[in-house]
Amino acid sequence: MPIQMLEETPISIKLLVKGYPLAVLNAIRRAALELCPKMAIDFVIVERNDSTLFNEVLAHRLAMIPLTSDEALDHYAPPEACAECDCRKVETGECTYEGKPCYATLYLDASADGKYKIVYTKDIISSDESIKPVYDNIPIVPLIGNQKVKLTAYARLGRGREHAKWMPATVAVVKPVLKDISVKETLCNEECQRECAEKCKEAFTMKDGKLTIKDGTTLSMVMYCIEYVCEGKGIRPVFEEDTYIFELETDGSLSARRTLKESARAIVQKLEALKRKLEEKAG
Amino acid sequence: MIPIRCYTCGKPLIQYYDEFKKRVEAGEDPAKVLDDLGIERYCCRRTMLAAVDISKEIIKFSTKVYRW
Ligand SMILES: [Zn+2]
Repeated sequence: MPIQMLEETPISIKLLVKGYPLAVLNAIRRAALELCPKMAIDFVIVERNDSTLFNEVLAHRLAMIPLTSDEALDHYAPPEACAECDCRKVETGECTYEGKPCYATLYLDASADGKYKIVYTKDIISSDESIKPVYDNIPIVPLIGNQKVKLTAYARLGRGREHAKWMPATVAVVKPVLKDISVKETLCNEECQRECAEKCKEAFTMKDGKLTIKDGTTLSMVMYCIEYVCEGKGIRPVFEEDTYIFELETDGSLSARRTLKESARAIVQKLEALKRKLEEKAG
Repeated sequence: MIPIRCYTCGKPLIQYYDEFKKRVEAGEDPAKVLDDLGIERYCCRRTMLAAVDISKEIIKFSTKVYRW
């Protein structure tokens, strides 16, 4: 069953998928949003914060920063392993699971030195080379005078169902491919169809006395017509069977390819867990 | 401070803000600048267009810090 690559950049991917059921694609799509793990700052210990932002706001801004997690997926403990950990163990570095550390530590120590200054993500020092902010120039907090910010942030792997900061995908879409339109003759005769073609020259044309779509007409163009012009009476879109476009865009913390793979793996893990449970119950 | 990500889709946007602000203040058309920066969805475009950074104005009124 062929999968055709339409577009690929490091952070986005667009596939034309034929022959796979919609349910499978939708499962992968949803897994990309809520099951694929990635690194994000989980809690912050603030030693000093003189800035205009409250500690909570500061912690929230830090959590929103995408961290590179391609390597972290292999080297850090899975999200579920850390559910039992408490803060005290983390601070002393005792928090591990099967030899893998749970948390990565990031330090931020900045002072304004008498003038207006914005603290950027490039000022963050990471204990692990492979985990650092994806973008260097994200402003975190403004400082003035002799204000100072000093904090330690702990990042761990997590899943999007827990908090949106662990969502690697920003866009995950499965959409059908528009093939043609069908026109109901009883509601819209040839004259009515000609009127349609005249009203919207960009999308429609008349061919052998029937209304058809032009090349490059998208579904949203047809749906606009159906919803606002013809009000769903005459035209209906016809889709290509079992053919879908799968679009994925990430926030930069994982590559699009990796996100796709990890999502598929997450589904397999879930299915295996279900199978184990069923076998346990059945005995 | 303006939000780090788009409210709706979660795309990190703030790293473009400095350039966006500089170019728009220099008289360029915001739509063209957004196209150049690769911000194509309308959720991200409205987040970017509607963001006003007032941190520089309010920071003057922050409490004076006394070191101890
Ligand atoms: Zn957006």
